Amino acid sequence: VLHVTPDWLSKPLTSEQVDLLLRQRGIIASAEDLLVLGDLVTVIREQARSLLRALKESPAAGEPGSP
Amino acid sequence: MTVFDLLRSSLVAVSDAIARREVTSRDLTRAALDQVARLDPDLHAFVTVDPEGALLAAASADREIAEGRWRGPLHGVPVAVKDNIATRGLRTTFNSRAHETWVPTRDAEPVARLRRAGAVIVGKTNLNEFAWSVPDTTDLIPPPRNPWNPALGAQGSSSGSAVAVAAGMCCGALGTDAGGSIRLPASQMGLVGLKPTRGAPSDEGALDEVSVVGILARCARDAAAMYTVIADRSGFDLGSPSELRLAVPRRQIDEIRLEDKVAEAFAADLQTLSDLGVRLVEIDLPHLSVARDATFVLISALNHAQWAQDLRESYTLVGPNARRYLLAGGVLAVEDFVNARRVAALFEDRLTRTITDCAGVVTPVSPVTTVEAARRPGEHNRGFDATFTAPFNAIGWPAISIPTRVGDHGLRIGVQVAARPWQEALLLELAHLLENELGLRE
Repeated sequence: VLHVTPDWLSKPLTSEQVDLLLRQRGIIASAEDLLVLGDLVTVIREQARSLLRALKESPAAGEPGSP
Repeated sequence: MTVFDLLRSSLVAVSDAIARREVTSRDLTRAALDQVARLDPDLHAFVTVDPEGALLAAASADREIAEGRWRGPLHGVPVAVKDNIATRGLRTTFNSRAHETWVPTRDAEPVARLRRAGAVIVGKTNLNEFAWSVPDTTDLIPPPRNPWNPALGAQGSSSGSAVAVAAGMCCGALGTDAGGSIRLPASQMGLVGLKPTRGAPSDEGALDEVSVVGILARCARDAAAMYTVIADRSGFDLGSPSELRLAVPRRQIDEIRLEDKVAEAFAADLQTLSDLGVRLVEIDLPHLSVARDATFVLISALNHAQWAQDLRESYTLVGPNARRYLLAGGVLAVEDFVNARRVAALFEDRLTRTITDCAGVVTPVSPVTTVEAARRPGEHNRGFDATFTAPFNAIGWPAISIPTRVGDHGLRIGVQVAARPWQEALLLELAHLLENELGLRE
């Protein structure tokens, strides 16, 4: 089982880890799809990282009651 | 004017002719169906055409109008609906083999409103599978072609609706917009594309919290006629907005590599707005690109959640491109989704504080004109072509694509204006103003 840790987004995911994540969701991806999925996974995780950066620079943003 | 000429003019002109009984809805509907039969084998605007249902609805409209029971501007008017919006008794496939035979038992609310207004639905329009992937020749129906230049593809997931309207196969169409899927094809095909405020056309029928059902039309008045119906608003006249100020996020636009023609068109659009008395105020919107990322994280997660069942049970029926886009969303964590919501709130907060006394924000619709440029490997999945459109999906603000210029290869170029929630009338007035000035309505 893969767990989301604080450094979750800092390391690239291997295709084995992607496979495991999808299996945890009950999805068996084909070997061919796993092979070509890498770019899309990298991009979506880059986007998720950019969110984290923006929030770190504006820590109060989006919190209920923030100014 | 022949029935075909009328069909290609405007929804409002068609509506007037029907109401005055100068033409019947049946004749117009037959003309629309003839256009589909003639053009669609090459353009692929439709997934499903419904001649029988359309002609029945047209006959019913003619009967009611003859009896003096005219329901309003959409009565008897041929329209089309994107094939990810449920239509009672008419299959809704999402252009996926996994849903090839699904026939909904009830309409999505915007469709129900169209039917109550007496509109005639000629068919369901093409999209890239699930409206979340890149078009693929292995989709149930192959990708639409651009009627202005059929050698080129058509941009955005509501491209089938845009092609159907631009090619005169119907007078207006519903699309959905999760990151620019209405505004991008509208811009490319010289149409008005309105993404209403989230919730305006009723949340029921929209697929998720970033998608919204909206309109593709030939001009602002046509879009206004459709908007009042699907949003259940009272009709309004399109006046001229006065003493208007619009914000231009200059630095963020300059940082994007705009195609030359887009840069020229945008400069000319700003000049036209200025000549019309609109005051342009340069602003800095540093969170624009991260708001785009927030939209893409939300769309990825929501689409994965929505279609995971298909990946579990009908894996090989989902097309390869759609499958990979859907699978990629499965690597996101709950934290990523929450962060995307928080970034959207951050962007909305900063945007609201920055534009203060401006009515909205003006940007290009897309940095590029051709679908081929929009889908350069490594750029499309980063959301490059949706740089200016997607941020407004994360926050649910309304935005409009207004046709203004003609670029290379016959392709059209539009300008986008986004405004605070529920300011659709203002956006449509601006579109009307630019149309009158630039004479692009026809």
